[in-house]
Amino acid sequence: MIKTEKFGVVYLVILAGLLAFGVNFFSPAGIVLTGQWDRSKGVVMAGSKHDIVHADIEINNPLRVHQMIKDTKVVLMDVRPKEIYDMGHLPGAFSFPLAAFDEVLDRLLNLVKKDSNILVYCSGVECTDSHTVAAQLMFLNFKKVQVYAGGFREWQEMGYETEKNES
Amino acid sequence: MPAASGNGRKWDMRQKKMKADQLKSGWPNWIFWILRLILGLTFIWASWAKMVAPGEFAKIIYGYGVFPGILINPIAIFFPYLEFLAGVCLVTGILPRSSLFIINGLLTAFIVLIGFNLFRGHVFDCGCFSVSGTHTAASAWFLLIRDFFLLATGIFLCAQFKFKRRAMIYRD
Repeated sequence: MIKTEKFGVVYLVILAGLLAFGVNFFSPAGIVLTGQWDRSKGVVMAGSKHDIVHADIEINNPLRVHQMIKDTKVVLMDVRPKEIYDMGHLPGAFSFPLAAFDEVLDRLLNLVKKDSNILVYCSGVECTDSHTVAAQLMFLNFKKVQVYAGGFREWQEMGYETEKNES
Repeated sequence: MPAASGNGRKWDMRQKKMKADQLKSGWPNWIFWILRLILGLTFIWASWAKMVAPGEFAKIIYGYGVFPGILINPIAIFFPYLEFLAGVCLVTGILPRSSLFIINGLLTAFIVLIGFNLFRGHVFDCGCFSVSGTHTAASAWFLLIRDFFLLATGIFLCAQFKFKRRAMIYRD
């Protein structure tokens, strides 16, 4: 027993490694081996193996987003909770909280055409809710969905104007 | 026959030594078992949420602000299973000393990580028992104290194993 114990830590580490990477490979909740953790490259996330949203739909340039909003070329969707949206949001953004997505879906379908330019954002690069909503929209056959990676935090840091809902 | 009687004498001496060791440890066996169960089950419980949602756990590891990006996903995949296995081994008694060594190592690492972030005032989510934790310094202090208690339990159990080591050799 003592002899077995001598290398016990090694056995356990090897077994844990085999189990972990084996289960991760087959599990639907599994993640890829290298995630996107560079804030300068956009929304940070572990990266599910079954992601349907990819970095290529992200806009990582606040100047471009500012111009798009100025030109009123996009339907802006704020997916943060409604009470946070009320405290401040991008000008002209509609509130479509991720948590209540099914409830606001009818309003969304009335408001937005399938080929409209949609720009989804949440709080910042550490928030993946915008990607989740973008994935759902793409699943619903909305053709032009993009994610503003920097989100509300970057918008504020850039000093751009925001809107508030006074209650 | 003389050899057998020699072995018999040795056996008696070993039995006496074992009893002396148990007396030296000064703790009844049931305390030892309960602590082992508590520590093992704590690790099994703690690992579960992380194993089920590795993506969320990876984000929590990122939030610690210590690890390079390339290591975050492998850590998020691997460590919950190491916690789980160590917990199971401690409870079942398979490789108990090795599992205690791993558990104490992990607890020390958690304490260093939490302490480091508290020291530099970095707000983080522990992700110790769930993947939706809290973000306050007060809870970080609580985590630190809790991990110190768990580590003390682990060290106590390790010390018990030192006393029982001889007994394990004879049993085999």
